[in-house]
Amino acid sequence: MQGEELDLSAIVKDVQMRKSISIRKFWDVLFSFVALSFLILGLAILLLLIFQLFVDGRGLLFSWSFYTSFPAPNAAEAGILSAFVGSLFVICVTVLFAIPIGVAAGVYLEEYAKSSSSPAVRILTDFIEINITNLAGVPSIVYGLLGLEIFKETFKLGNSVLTAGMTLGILVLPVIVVTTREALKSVPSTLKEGSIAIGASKWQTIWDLILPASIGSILTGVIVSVSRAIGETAPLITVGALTFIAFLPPLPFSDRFAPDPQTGELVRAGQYGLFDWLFSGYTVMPIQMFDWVGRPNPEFRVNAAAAGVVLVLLTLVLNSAAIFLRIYFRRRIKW
Amino acid sequence: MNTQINEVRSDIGEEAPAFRLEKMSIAYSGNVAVSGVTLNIPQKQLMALIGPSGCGKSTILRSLCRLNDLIPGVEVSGRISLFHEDIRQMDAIAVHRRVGMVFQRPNPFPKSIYENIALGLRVNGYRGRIDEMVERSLQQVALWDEVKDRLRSSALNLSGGQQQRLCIARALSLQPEVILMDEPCSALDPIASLRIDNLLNQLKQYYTLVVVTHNLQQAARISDSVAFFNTNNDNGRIYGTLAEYGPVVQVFSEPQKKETYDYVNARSN
Ligand SMILES: Nc1ncnc2c1ncn2[C@@H]1O[C@H](COP(=O)(O)OP(=O)(O)O)[C@@H](O)[C@H]1O
Ligand SMILES: [Mg+2]
Repeated sequence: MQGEELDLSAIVKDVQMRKSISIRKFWDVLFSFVALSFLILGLAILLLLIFQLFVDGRGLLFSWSFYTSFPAPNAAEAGILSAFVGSLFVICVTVLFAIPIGVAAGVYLEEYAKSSSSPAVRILTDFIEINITNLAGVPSIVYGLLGLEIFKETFKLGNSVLTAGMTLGILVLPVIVVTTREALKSVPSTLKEGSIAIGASKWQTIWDLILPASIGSILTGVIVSVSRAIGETAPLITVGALTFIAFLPPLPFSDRFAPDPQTGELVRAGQYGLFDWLFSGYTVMPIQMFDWVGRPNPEFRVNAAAAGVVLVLLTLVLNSAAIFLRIYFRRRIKW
Repeated sequence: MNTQINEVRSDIGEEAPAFRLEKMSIAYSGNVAVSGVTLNIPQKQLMALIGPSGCGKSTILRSLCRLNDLIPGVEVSGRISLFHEDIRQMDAIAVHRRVGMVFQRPNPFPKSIYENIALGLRVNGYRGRIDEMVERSLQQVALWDEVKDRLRSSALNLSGGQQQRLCIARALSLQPEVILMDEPCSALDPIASLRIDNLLNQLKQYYTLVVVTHNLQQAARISDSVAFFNTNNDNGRIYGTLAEYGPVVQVFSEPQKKETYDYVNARSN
């Protein structure tokens, strides 16, 4: 409306600014080259490591018995069955324990505490917020000590799958809380308002709209943190994972055997309950590797390398699942 | 088809008003945005709220349906009553149920077309047949024929105008007493916007409508009465007040105040 008052001469005069464009372009190109070479370097080192593992472990990687055998004193016969199954069981507990608590905590902090009318709640929320981010950076062995104190000493859960799963659960909890909050934050406020405007309660809004809209990002965060937990060794050593294990945690309702008091022979002595596997002893992949690497007999290095490849593949599968989920949910929901 | 031109209604204030605002002021964390508004919003008519940007039209609309409760630090003083009940004494969800809201940018839920309407019915515990209600609401906004074959596909694939009509259908399906609309056509092309105008002209026979608009032609086409808000500058503190309100013909052709005259005529020539 006030076009005639604008000073257009300033725009015409500015040749200097245009000159600086070519200099800035040069820096752009230079910087992208530097960044790219570092990226390639980093990837190359990683690939080299994995390749080395593969070469070292190739003797066992392709033999079926490596996957179906328990650890044995003889390197050629020792397999990863109990460690692989143990890892899966422990991670199951971790997921079942950490997802509900972590997501609920994230929802509370983001959707309820932040808009609370009580200043005390808001101060507490700020305090928790700072600390959760810090918790995500605490060394994992500290979580091992925590698990030892809480689950083993206080709740007397022993050297069990349950103790291990929940210890790793606390380890990934901060990451899950933080990702959940980020995911919820990215849901546009117009969506929340639309829902409130049709008379939905806060909880209905969260359950029917906000969570479905952010579930992709939440799951991605969960999977990435869980795939990190699969490789954790230190906290599980602290809470007492076994290293040499020649049995699997009992599946629900599988037959239970016990030595006959007369003959000493193993006979069927009933069934396992639904939750007995939770209280079983266990070992996990990284601990099995650690054990093999530490043995004086160098033949076990092959077992360790082959187990390492399996662990890397497992992580890779989980991360691909995370990417897949992200794409899947993105495609369904676009703003 | 209904007529474009409104029959002039002269019964403002005779029937009990749907909303009665008495000395209503609204502040965001202590900064007054709207001050001292006293206004009756008549039933089963369409009132247009006009005024320059920043005079607090959206703020008022959001307070009428208590959406401002979501923003921390918002304070509303004075009295807002919905059919003689103080809305701040009422349960917030009850207010949301009775007063629908349509937003400036269409905000369908990222779900199917069907689900966009069914969800509102379900969260409110609707006991009737949801399928019928979905069809009826979509027919009311003249969207049924366009979408009846793809009710299960995502609402986000609809055009902007269709999305906005879906949002209106979503509000209608809950049979509210009042529907508030914040510049419902500002994100739409002229044709889509004209369809909404026609729709509003029909709806106002059954509902009380309050529509914020920057488009004075639209205001003239659709409204029965008009409230003009203006910004005041009180030593650098800027806030909105109600300048005048009355039947549409009066506000546009014989405004009582010079500021109204200036605003109404600035754009039409
Ligand atoms: N969420 C908010 N927080 C703080 N101030 C706000 C907020 N929303 C609006 N305002 C202020 O309130 C005043 C009125 O805004 P608004 O109601 O959006 O005006 P309009 O819709 O008439 O353009 C403006 O000065 C704006 O800056
Ligand atoms: Mg506005």
